Amino acid sequence: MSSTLQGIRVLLIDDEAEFVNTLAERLELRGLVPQVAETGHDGLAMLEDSEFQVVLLDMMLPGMRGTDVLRKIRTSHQTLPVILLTGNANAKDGIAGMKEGASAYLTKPVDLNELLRVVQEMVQGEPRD
Amino acid sequence: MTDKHFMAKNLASSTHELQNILAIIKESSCLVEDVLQINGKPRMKHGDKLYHSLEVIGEQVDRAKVLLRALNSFAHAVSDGAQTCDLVETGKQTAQLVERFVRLKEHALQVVVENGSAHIACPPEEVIEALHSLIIQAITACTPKAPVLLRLGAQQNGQALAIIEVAGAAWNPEEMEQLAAKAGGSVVLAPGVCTVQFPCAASL
Repeated sequence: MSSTLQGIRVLLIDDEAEFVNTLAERLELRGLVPQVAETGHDGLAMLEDSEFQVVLLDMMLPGMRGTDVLRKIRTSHQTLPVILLTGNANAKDGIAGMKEGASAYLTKPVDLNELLRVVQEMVQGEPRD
Repeated sequence: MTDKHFMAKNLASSTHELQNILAIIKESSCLVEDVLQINGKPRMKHGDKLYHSLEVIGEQVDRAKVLLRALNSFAHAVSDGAQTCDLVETGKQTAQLVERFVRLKEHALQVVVENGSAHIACPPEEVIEALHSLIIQAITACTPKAPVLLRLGAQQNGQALAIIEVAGAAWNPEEMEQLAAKAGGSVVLAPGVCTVQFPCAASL
């Protein structure tokens, strides 16, 4: 694995607890530093309290939806890379998210290598808040 | 809400949830692989069976993913009320949905993309229904075990083409014309070849 991913702080926001905790463990095994939030509100609170270099955000959250969370993130963290996760097979949701300011989108189930590649691109290419 | 929209809404939601379940299965199985890899191949009795099982889980998740995406996309096409679509993408989804029917008749379906995309002025679910029905009809009476080819995306005279090729297919012209017309298309039949023409979106 690329050393540029070591120590990268990733915030994972997804209500599917089993999925997001397992994904976090896999990222941790690769040297990243993930933290998990299971609601949009928790995720936003964690963003206020800690510094992250990338956010992985599920679009279909209960209550505050992914696009609402994204809009709130953009008011305080204009350049923080946000990767959307969508379960929708067509690209519509992903494209809508990109228009709201997402940096990229991936579909579930996630290909970890693809996710790591995108994270690496984001961290190398984007300025940080 | 019409029956069709009700069904589509529920299908979209259920397939979405199934994708979440697949994601959990995949991540859990991959985590076991990660741990095994980190620790080196453990010398346990029947260890090869464990690795093989993980491989099978991964393959089957990928197999289910393809089908669920086609179903989810189909459901969204109906619930969103799209009036245009990309014939190539829609044709590929049809192939994924009809593949099992083709396999049960001991045929093999192959998709050949002739052009990257071809936007047509037809609702995607109607195109799927038409192509699906035409392929089923093609394999109902044809040379046993003949391969089925679905060629997608070629264009001529403002029409995008989906071409179904099956050796020995006995076409029913009237029924095939009706099936294609339901999706806004028309058919041209030749021995073993059914060409479905759809109006390109840009030409309208």
